[in-house]
Amino acid sequence: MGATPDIPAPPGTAPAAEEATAASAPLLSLRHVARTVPIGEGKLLTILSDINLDVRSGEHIGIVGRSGTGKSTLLNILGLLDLPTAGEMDFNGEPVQSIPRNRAAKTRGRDIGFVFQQFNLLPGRTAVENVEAPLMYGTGSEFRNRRRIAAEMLGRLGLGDRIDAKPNRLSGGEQQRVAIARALVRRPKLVLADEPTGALDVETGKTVMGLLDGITRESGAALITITHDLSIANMASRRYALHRGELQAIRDDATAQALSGAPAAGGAR
Amino acid sequence: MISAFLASIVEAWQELRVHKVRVLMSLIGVGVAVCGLTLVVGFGNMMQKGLVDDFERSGGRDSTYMFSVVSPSGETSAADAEKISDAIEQAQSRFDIDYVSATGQSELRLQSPTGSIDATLTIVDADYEVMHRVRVEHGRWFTAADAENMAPAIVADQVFLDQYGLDAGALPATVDLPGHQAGVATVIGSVASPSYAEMGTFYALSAQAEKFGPTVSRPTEFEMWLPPDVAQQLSKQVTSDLKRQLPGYTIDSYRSDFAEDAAGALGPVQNVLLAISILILFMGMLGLINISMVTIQQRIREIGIRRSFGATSRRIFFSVMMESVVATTVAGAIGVLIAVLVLKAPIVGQVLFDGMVTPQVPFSAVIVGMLVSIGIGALAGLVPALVAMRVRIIDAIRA
Repeated sequence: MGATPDIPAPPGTAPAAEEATAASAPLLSLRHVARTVPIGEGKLLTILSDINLDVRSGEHIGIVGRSGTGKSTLLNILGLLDLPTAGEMDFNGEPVQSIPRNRAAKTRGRDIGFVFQQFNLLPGRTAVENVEAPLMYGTGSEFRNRRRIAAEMLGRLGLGDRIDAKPNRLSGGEQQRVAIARALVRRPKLVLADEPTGALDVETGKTVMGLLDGITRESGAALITITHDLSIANMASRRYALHRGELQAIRDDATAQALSGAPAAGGAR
Repeated sequence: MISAFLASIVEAWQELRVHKVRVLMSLIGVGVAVCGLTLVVGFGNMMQKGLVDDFERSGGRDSTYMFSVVSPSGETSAADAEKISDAIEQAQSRFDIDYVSATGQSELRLQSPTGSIDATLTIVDADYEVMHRVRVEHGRWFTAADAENMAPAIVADQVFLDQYGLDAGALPATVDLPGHQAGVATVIGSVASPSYAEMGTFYALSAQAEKFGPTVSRPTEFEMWLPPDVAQQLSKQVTSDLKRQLPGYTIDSYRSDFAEDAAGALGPVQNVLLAISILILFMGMLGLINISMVTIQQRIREIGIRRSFGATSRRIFFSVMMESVVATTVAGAIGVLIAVLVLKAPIVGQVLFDGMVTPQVPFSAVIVGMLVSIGIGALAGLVPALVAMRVRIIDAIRA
């Protein structure tokens, strides 16, 4: 089971782009990845098992899963915040197990952007200060030019006139756009969106997802959306369901109802 | 590296700006504690300096030894005085002693334009100024050449000048010599009087002592300012040398300065004050750690977010530590500033240093205050920084 390169393209995905992404080397590659945690008396709890997934630049991948299916753990591993206990995982061609912790943190800051359900904007800081925050961990040039870079990014997300507004003065949609700007401000290669629309109404959620999808596609970054909402996952070019720690491709005709009971297994690799 | 350091400062400053009320509340304690410590150190040092200065003005500097020479007859004739003076000069030269002064006192009655006044004549040599930290306020102190003057030179204190009816700003001036002698003395300088002084004092050179009347003779007591580390041994050698030069004379020597008394008088008080201020400081630090810990628990999510931006655990540790250090440094600087203003306030000088010249605020107090502030920041930041380092990122973000 795992990723299938022959997943049907979602509506609106250009075949040329698909071919290009399929031809390039994967940005992220997971082979038989598993994660277990000890629970005492020598026993192990398996959270993730035999995860296989290749992610290429420019791809949008949706992962659907209910609570307790291992979404957080998968997010931790994909975001270089945690290591698998079995299997192999490469990020940008390098085995993650061989990356020291400090370098992993730097790689994460440079190459991975996070978008969270609760926006997680830094309280008390203005929109532009929030977007500047990742640049504090960047290069000297990024640090010096942080205000200009952050303001430009907010402008791209349509918030050019809200840069000095604090989070409590922004609507949910605006806050999530600030969070997206923050995730993208260092031009990451991979964007991990953890329930990005979970705190938004349906309309705003779709708008925000459209924006996130468009802007990551434009920048050539890969986007992995982890969600419980099938309609959000359906915006991705490839879709998977996470069920009891296993990742399975979702067929085009799968319904939310079907997914809530058991995985709608598709062409698993 | 430099940008990472600057970024940490910027982050720390933003954190303080955003949480200014919390920071302000927690830092008031630190500021007050640092202010208290600086005040204690400052007051202690100022009092010690003031006391030492005061002691040195009356007893001489550390270590001053008094050599008393009594002739075999018990009376000191002019010839005896000359002989004793020569012996002292030889001893000074032999042992390479820089500062030596005769010392003696007489009470005299002088005739001022408004009537007779009583005054104390202190007979000295020119070195007395350095040995006793004499501060001439107007005019000048003696030089060796003054010994040759026909009219003896004197340096008078303010009470004497006031009683005699002289203006210190109009020196030099002349005063009639005491008794029924003809002639005048020239007042070449003035010094301040102690606040308790009721009778005026004036200084005259030992070489001109006889000019102040038959009741005044050249002193047979001499002070020598000796290096403290060898003073005791040297004083014995000088005594032996004087005995050799002046056979039959009685030579006594003893330490006449109060340096040991100053340390003994102030030491226990200063220790108690220091202990109290350290306790205050400790309580301020506990309060700061307490608030920092609570705040870190509230900020776990924020720390998780920063980790997701690529902040290493080392950077998070440094940031949290910097927050604490930046905050306490600012609070400490304010505390030190308040302490310095208090120490320099004229009313404090009047109340606490009555009768003494108010010393300068010691630089050491300012340095101690600032170092302690930075130290408190580092200590109080350590525990929260260690907690912050161990935050599990995604759990923190999802919390």
